[in-house]
Amino acid sequence: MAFKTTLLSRSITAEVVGKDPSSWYQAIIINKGSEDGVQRGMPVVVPEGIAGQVTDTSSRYSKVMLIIDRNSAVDALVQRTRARGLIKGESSGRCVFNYVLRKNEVTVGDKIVASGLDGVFPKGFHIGDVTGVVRRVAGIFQEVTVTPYIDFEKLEEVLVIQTSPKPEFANQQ
Amino acid sequence: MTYGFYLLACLFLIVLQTAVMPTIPVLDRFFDLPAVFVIYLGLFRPIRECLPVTIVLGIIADNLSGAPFMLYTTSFIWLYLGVYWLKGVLQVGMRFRLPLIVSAGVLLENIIFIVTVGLLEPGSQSPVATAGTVITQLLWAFIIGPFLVIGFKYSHNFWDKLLGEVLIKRTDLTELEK
Repeated sequence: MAFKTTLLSRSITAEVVGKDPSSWYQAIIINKGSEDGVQRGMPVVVPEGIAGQVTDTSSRYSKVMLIIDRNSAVDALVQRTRARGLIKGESSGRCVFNYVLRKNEVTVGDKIVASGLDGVFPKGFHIGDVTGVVRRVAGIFQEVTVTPYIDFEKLEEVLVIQTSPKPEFANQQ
Repeated sequence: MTYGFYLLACLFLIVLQTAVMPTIPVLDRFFDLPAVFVIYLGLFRPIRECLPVTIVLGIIADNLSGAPFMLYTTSFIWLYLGVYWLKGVLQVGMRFRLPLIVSAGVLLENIIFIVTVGLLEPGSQSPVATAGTVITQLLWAFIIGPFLVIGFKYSHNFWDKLLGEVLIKRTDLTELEK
């Protein structure tokens, strides 16, 4: 993958060999494991943006939770206004951008990128476009819907970025 | 020998479900194939033979899924027991008995998943998307499920017959050697 040469960190190329048997959860199986240097918590990306995070490893295979899974969360920014929030997966294959303050300006078409503040995903990686904004009369936050750039149905190859996991994070997993 | 059939069937279904079916766009909301195998076990096989198989199948699915660990195992055990109970109480004509039992089984599995998701992540489910997924799976189960169950039954009988013949031949050869 040519994309690999543009990454500053070391990375591992992996192929998707399986998908979650359940339609209620979104995970994939890749053909690289702990013998190849993959560890829990490592971010998984593709040229279009962030795909997910490694949640389990065996010697030759790993399980990756996709960002559209309801248990996934990515600290993110609106690229134009730098409004901060948390990207969470939704059952419909889209994401919601939670905890964005009402005072922050977010409009349909804005690009969402990773903020890097979660300590997992590298800053600046693309996530998706804002496709819906609901600003209610009351409440602190606005409801923002994000459509990821990645077509997760057609995911075939991914890059696992080799970050050195923080001890406390590794213990929590 | 029947456990050999169970092992092969479980591995075949898991590979089919995780590696082959996701590549077919029409089948993206297909029901769980291992669940239909558990329904077959509940319908036609005794408990002492099937509970270990159900648990092993659940653990394999749990390891491949992003769901909380043991959710599949739990749902398969409930599914097996539910079908085992349902086949005794459901008094309808043979034509609709199998489709109804398979649909009820798939519905039971979905309910277990929805309740789990609802308890662990309250408010994360879109009711429209959830209803859409369940209805699509039920339709698939009603139409295709009975054929799969019958297919499992025939395959199992064929396996038993094949191995029976091989064993008889071996016994004959041993007796001739004596």
